Amino acid sequence: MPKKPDEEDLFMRVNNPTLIRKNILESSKLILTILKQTYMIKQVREIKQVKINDLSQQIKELKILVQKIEELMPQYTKADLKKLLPDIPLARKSTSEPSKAEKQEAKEDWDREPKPAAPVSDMDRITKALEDVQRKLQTL
Amino acid sequence: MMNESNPVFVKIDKYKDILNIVEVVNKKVIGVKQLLAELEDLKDKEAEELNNWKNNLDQITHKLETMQEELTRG
Repeated sequence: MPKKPDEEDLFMRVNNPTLIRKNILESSKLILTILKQTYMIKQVREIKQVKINDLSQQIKELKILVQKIEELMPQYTKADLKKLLPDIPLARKSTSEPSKAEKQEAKEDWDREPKPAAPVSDMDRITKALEDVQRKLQTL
Repeated sequence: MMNESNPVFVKIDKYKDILNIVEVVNKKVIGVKQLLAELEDLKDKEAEELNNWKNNLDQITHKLETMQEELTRG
């Protein structure tokens, strides 16, 4: 059936079809390259995340080790202790168990002392630890 | 308070423990440094990939512009 005049197909002249085809193909190629790069970036980020987790773990272990050294090192010299506690004779630590009354007194003291608020996150705990270290450094 | 003029005395077993821990800490610090270097490499690699990505997008934009120009000229 012949088309009516107003239904006829219209055409637009494209002067350089080869250039357009070439551009389309090259754009497709570039898009695929970008897709490939996206996967590579994703992969790199995944590896990075694993490394960061590992690093975080190592730093935590380092923190524990340094704390251990701090615990093992005496905090005061004998002279300092004499200055700080002049009335208490510096004798060897008694090996006997504290009496019940002493234990009770210590417990009451502990209860009376204001307790610091529990840190809410790792970041808070680290900030608090940093402040403690800074305070200690200032007193040295 | 501690100062340089007043030495402290550490029990020999504790002293050995401290030395051992310091050795472990040193090894761990080397490991951490290695990890940081690896992270630095990965960061560079990522930046390079992102840069390539940007260059490719610029090329696509240019090609699309050329195509559009060619099509509208018709």
